[in-house]
Parts: sequence; C-alpha cells; structure tokens
Amino acid sequence: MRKITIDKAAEGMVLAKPLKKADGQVLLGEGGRLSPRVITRLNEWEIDIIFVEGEPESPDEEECAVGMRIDTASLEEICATIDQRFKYVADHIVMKKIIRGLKEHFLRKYNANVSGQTDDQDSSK
Amino acid sequence: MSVDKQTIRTVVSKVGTLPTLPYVVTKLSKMLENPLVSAEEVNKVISSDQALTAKVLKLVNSAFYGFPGQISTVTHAVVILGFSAVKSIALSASVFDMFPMENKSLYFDRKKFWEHSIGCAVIARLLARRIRYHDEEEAFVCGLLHDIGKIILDQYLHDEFVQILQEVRERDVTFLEAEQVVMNCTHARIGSWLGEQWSLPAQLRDSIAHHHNPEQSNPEFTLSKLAHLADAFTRAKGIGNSGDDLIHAVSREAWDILHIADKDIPDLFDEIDVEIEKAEIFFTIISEMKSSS
Repeated sequence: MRKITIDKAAEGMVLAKPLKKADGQVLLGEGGRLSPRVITRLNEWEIDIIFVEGEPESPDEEECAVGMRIDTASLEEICATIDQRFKYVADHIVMKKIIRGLKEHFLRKYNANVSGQTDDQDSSK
Repeated sequence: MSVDKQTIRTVVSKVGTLPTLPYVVTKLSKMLENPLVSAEEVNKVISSDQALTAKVLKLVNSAFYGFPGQISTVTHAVVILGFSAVKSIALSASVFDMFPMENKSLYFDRKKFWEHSIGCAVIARLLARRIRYHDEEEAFVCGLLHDIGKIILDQYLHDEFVQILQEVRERDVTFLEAEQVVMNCTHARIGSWLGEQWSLPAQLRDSIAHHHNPEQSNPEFTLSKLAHLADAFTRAKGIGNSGDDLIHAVSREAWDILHIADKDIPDLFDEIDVEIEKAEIFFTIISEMKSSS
C-alpha cells in the first residue's frame, strides 16, 4: 500500500483504503479506480492524502501508524521483527507475557488475512 | 564521552528560551480547574483566538471524536464532548503549531515521531478507559506529550541530538541510554522543564518526567504508569518512531495497574489496532492543518 499526496494521484490507481471526506462520508470505496473526474475533485473535497495499491516508492509513502504490514509480511518476518525489538528485554518476566501476547495477536491477524484472501478467491470463482 | 556538567547547564539555559503555550490555552487550563465554569465561558476564551477556534472545530467534527460534521460551535463541542476533551484538543492543536513537521535531521523523521506520539496518546486513552481512570483525555495528552523533550532536543540542542542518534545507530542502544552518554540528561527531564514553563498540571508534568521510570513518580499518580505502558505498547506494535526501535522493560508497578490475564493480552492488542485507526484520522487532520496554515 502507498500513502500519497493528491498531487501524485494518477488515473487508474486503485484505492487501498476508501476515499473519505473529513466528516467520514465515503466517496469511493476500497478497490475503486481513480478517474480523471475524481482526481480533479480531490481538492474540492479537501482531501490531501490517499491510500493506493502498490509498493511504497519512498519512506514517506509507507502508511503511517500501521505497525507491521500484515498484508505483505510473512509470519517468520513478523516474529523476527518482534524478537529484534525485544532483544534486550526478552527474559524479563512481564516482557515474556507481552511478547507471547503480541505474537498470538499477529498470528490471529495473519490467519484472518489468509482466510480473507481465500474467501475472496472463492467468491470470484 | 565523559559526564559534562557544562553541557547540562547549556541544556538548562537554552531551555529557558523555550516556546510558550498560547495565552488562550494557559487561560483555559486555569479556568477548567474551577468546577463551576460554564460552556459559554470556555467558548468566550477559545473564540478570542480565531485560528484556534477553526482548528478545534475541525478536530471535533472529525471521525476521531465520533460526531462528524455535527458540531458547529465551541459551546456545542463542550456540551457534547466535555471540558476536558475540548481542553485536550486546544492543547494538541497548539503543540502541533509550535513545532514544524519538516525534518531537521536525516536520521530523525518528525512525522514518524508524531505517529509514535499520537499512537501513544490513543493507547494511553484506551488503557485509561480500561482501568476506569477518571480523566481519559488527560491520559491522551500525557501520551501525546511524553516524548516532547526529544523535539526540544531536535529544535534547540540539535548538535547533541545528532550525536545521540549516532550513538543509537552505532551502538544499537536505546535513545535513553544514548542521551545519558552524550549529555547526561534525558528527554524526560527536558520535557518536564517544558511542562513547568507551560504550567501543565503536576500529574502531567510528572508523567513526562517519569514515563521511563514510573516507580519513581508520586505513588498516587497514575498518568506516569499509563504513559509508560502506552509507550511500550506503541513500540511493541511498531507504530511510528521516536528515535530508536527498541523496547524497554515494563515496570512491574505499571503493569500491575492493568490487572490483565495473560490470555487477554492478544485481545488488548486487537483493541489497540482499533485505536490506531482512529489515530490515523487524528494524524491526517493535524497534518492537513499544518500544511494549510
């Protein structure tokens, strides 16, 4: 997923997150394609940032505040990142609980994501 | 590098010239100490600053507070969201105004810094709700401001700041360890000096000063423990970046206030995800305000 400012919006880009006005009103859903008409109206809707499909082209384009990107990371990568972050405190009694809980949380998300993708494939058949 | 008293003195003297909080926000803070204050009085104070009024209205009407597009006046905002929320919004908007988003250093990304701080703010608020702390909004502000000392370092003691970041990278240590080596002073202490200058409430200042060592704060104060826990959870989830990627050991005293069973920890992280989505809304609005002002 890329997080881009609207000056980089181009025709044909696919939304990775719904296009919403400041008041929360959804203008175009996830998976929607940007048309020239939509692009010209982004300003009018007071939208500055949009999320589109694709790999980030710069650190700026990495989505804010998502933590580990569950949609692209493998379980091994997730666990390795967690172990790296906790490497100096992994034997601490409270931290052991947090690490276990965090891994369980990511495992659930990962599984939900995998089964979600399978459902998508099933329904498109 | 040796301990250098001169460096600390320099830190202190430069901090003497720190930015001041807008008069309106300080006045608001004082006013709200009086339980008999009315929504109309709060409206009068905020409305005397038009730019602030516009920002407050934009934030309260965002999806972040759950009443999108429904609140047209400050008085209305106070009635719906409460005094504490409106104060927290005014304070947040002012803090973002004071410090530019543009990076001063190659190795410190201010956007990532604010992502970390806002993440910490929403998580502190979530934890406050969980333990039934009396003022969730105060918890939000304590999360938002816990690392404010780092921005002061970046802005006013930039050479020391760059040295600290170098230490972090070269020796793979935490920011806290690195700053003690470089200047024998911490961002927590600098942040609490700023809090004094801004006349922030005692418990909020204490939470900034002791977010790394809540066991040393006043035992009656809960905020420092909430900031400490929220910081750990924000780091655990990898939300934003405040100068290093490492996580500190959580203090036992702080952990115990959560009263959480091991089996419920994954659920807490699920709840944190929901809060982080809200944090993204808050962050986007704040960034928009910065780019339009």
